[in-house]
Amino acid sequence: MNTQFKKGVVELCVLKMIEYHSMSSFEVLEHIRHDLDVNENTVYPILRRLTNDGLLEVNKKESLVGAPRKYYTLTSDGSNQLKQLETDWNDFVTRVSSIMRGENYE
Amino acid sequence: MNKQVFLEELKDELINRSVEEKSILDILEDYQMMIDEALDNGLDEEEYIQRLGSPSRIAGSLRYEKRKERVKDSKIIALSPFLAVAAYFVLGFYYQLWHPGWLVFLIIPIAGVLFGTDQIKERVVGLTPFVSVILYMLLGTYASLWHPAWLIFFIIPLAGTLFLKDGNKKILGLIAYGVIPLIYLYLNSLGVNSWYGLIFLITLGLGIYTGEIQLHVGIAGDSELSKQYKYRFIVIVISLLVIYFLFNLIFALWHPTWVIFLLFPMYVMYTVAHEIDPEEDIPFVAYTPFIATILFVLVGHFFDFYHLSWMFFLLIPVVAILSDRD
Repeated sequence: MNTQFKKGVVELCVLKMIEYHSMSSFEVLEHIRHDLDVNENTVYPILRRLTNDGLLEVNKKESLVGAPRKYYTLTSDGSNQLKQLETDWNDFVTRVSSIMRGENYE
Repeated sequence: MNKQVFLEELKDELINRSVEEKSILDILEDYQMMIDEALDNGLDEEEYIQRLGSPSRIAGSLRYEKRKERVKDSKIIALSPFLAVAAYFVLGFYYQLWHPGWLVFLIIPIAGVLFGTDQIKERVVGLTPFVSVILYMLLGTYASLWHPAWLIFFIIPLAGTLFLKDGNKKILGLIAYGVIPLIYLYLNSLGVNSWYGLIFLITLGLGIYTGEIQLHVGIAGDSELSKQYKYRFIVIVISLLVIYFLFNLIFALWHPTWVIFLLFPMYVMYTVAHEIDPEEDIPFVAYTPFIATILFVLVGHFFDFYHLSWMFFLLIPVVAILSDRD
């Protein structure tokens, strides 16, 4: 997949995935790799930035296997940011799809 | 690479990039948990670590997490060269204190040490070389106490000793670098014959015993340096020391004859360069800091030209520009 396309959407995908349920860094990386060919070096700094910006919060929880893990959950600011990003994304996809179909250029 | 090595290298990389200490601990904990969770999920440790990327690359991607520099402190450090030049000219033109007024240039590294760190230990240990040079030059210039004022340089290892965690090493260090010099000073004041200088063999012995003094001759990064050159360098250093002490025991020109020691690094550079590649010469600009210092001190002292001889330091950038092949 084109790198430039991926660049803008990783943050949106991370927030969306964590909205479904709390995830550890490992889980975020493993899930996102399943659908997007992204480097771990790309995702982890985004997780830290979103946490520092107050869009995610980190809690330690007991794990079923092994030592306690840190889990990311969406804050209310994170939820608002996600809604905004989703709106922007849907609008963007609609407009680009329109161009690709040649709707305004036929 | 295993988890332990990976985390150690990552820590070093983050420290080198001035990341905040709290962030470093957080990041290391996160990566440790990621690797542990990968192992719990049946992934291979080394394969997963390889996927995470090199510590250098990871630290580079986290570069925005730098330690917040105190703006005011950075400004003081940046201003210090200009303040030093201004102070030097005031001392020179108004008070004719070109020498030892040039000592004000030491406020540049002193500012760097004072405002570049919060750690008391780093400040104390970092400042002692400059404090000792200033005190030595002042005592020598105004009280002609070049000897025994050179003892002041013992505050450098003494400062390091104060912060040692090992109690025994601390006591032995205080004896070696504090008590022994004081005894020497006392014996010197009694005017007894100069054999009491042998008391410093105790300092040397204690230093070697505690590991604070290690005798090693070699060139950084070159383990193949021939035995011939190593012994030659030892002979040259010892010869310079003997010449310096013998000459000054007779003529008492401790300053400025100390510049003779600057010939040694120049000789080493020339010799090692030819050892590594006989076809290639070290650029002349590499020698200019030493040449400039020697000329500055000798012309300043013997012709009382410190107010002009500082200009020899302009040799460094001028030669660099003129010899630049680009």
